Amino acid sequence: MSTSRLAIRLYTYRGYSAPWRVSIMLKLKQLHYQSFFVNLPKGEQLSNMYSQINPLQIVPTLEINGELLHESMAIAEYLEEEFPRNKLFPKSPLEKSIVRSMCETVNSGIHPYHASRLYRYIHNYVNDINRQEISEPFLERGFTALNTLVEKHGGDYAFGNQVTIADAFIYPAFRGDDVSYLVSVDKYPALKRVVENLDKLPEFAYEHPDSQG
Amino acid sequence: MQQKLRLYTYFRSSTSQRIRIILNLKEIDYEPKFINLLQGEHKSENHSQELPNQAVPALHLQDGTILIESMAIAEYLEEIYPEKKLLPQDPVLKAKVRGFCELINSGMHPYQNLIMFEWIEKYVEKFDRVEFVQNMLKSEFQTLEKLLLQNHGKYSFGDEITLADCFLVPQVMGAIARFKLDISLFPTIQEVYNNLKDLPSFYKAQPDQQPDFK
Repeated sequence: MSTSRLAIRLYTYRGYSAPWRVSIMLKLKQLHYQSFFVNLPKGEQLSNMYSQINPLQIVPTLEINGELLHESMAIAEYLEEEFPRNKLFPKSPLEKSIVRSMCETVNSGIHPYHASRLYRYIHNYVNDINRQEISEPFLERGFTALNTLVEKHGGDYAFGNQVTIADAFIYPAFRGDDVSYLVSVDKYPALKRVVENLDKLPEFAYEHPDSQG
Repeated sequence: MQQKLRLYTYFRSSTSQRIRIILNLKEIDYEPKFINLLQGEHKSENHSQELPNQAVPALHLQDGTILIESMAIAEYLEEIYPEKKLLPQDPVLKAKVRGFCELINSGMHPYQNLIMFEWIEKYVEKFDRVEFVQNMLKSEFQTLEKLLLQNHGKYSFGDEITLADCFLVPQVMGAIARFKLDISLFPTIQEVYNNLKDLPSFYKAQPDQQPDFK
């Protein structure tokens, strides 16, 4: 797909892990995009205004040529097929499967367990428990599984020595504002090495939420 | 001689059911290996090599390579066995099918699995799993309904079976059986679900048709 007259718009909240994955992907693919900021801590994704844009009330959403795409993994697969340069996935189906399993360990094995809606519901049942106490056992389980995968298959980065989509999922899983207060990368040596290497890459640079206009 | 494809599965695991459906649809021969989640077999030392993330499904390839995560397994099977396609050609539609699967995979299922309940039940004496899941997943079922309204034909996306159907049926079936989902609240989900559930590939994959069903 030619990028000369492409309109790409990312509905996002800077610093939050799920939309951060998508902005990393776009930067790795060297795609220019506009950001529209949706105040997630204030629940703005549920507002009437945002619902007009996206009736699914979900962030991140990628608008590309008028189409609305949601779910970071679906977006990653789309971008990989439509913009083949700067590959995010390795070549063989087996290697791709390993990289996908790393992404999914974050996507469904870690991220759901620090979602604000989980806290809301748990607090209906248990009053005197904080977010750390709620998330900790689940995050430990998920990050341990992820560490094992990266120990086995990682090098400088999560999968070997080239940056892949797995890094775009793993990095915000530690550095995202919605999770960094709950977990320390020091507990996971293989992941620590990868995250510290990614700290050096401009495509992974943190964008402060206050920088949103 | 290389071993057969092996699927580690539990009859009631909806994530395993997704893969059972896909293997049926693609007519892939496999050997099931039953893991009793209720008895904690997934956590035991005996199975630590076979289940690297202590979960089902796990797919062991003929050469012994182990694949985990249902979405990753589904994509692998789609690439290796392309004859009965489960993803549309159009890139945007393909993204929508994947988005639908991921809504279920990461937006819904994690809140109804055993690790969630086992944890909560340590803190809450008379924990009502049904009420919890209904509250947690109400708006997600509404989102699925909206997506199906926009995209459905006979099935979730048009008139061809896709991965979306393979994820939808186990999610809805489990929600009805275990969490008292009133599917009549979601008429499009109901219509598509009813078109799918009795198709042989889907029927043969359902929990009460499994050899380890109790």
